[in-house]
Amino acid sequence: MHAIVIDDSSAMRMILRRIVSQFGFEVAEASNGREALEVLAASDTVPDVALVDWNMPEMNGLEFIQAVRADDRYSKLTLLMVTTESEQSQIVRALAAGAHEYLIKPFTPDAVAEKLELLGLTTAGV
Amino acid sequence: MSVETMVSLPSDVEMIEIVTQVWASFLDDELLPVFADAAGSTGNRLVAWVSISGEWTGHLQVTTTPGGARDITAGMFQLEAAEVETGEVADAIGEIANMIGGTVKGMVGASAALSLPQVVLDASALISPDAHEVVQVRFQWRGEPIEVSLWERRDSNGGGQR
Repeated sequence: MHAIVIDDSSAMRMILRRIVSQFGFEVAEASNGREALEVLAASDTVPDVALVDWNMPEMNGLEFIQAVRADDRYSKLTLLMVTTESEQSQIVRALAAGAHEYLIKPFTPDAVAEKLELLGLTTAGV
Repeated sequence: MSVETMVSLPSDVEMIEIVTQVWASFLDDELLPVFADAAGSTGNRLVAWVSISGEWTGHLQVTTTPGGARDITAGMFQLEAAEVETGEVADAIGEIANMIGGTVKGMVGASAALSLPQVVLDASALISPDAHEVVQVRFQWRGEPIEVSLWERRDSNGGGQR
């Protein structure tokens, strides 16, 4: 299984990498949406899941999701938004743009695990 | 006839809860609120902040000592304190401000926008002549002071109430 963590904070990328790799994912990273698109284009493998921050320079998470959704190559890519944006209107925006699930920072490792399980990417107890 | 929109700013108790939750999610050791009416420290300080703009305008600021910042960074990156680099400090403290600020933003208005975090390694260089402090909470963590404050722009449209 492959994942990509997209966040302008290297600390947050490290934290999410640590959590997600515990479930057996190989984890790639990008510091913004534009860099993430480059990582995806350069890879032979489409990740199973992208964990996407919202507020990033150059290309934010919403723009990345919109770009991915418009590209048939990434139709199987599951999109989990991981962000401080907690207002219902923002959640609706993200889901309408194509995010499959939404996780609000700060989060616990268990919350990440629950989302991955909800998305069918892991099984309970793994 | 225009009606001013009053937004709801967090109380001290709510701010303590917000900060404590962020801390507990990513760092070990307990964050202890400090209620002593001590004068502000004049020592060397590092400040991270995010700006909130929209129905309410201001910024959320996290201030600590270089030692506190180093320990926070070491905790988040799971490094030894001696391994911490300056860039990592700015990143870690900025992310703490981002998460606290994001939660506060959720309280002050659905249309508010959150800036990317900014970090100043010498707080004496930080001046906010157009803002006044509306919330301040202090903590001790691993013997280091942590201060989290919310500043309101003097011309903020809505004006805040607590």
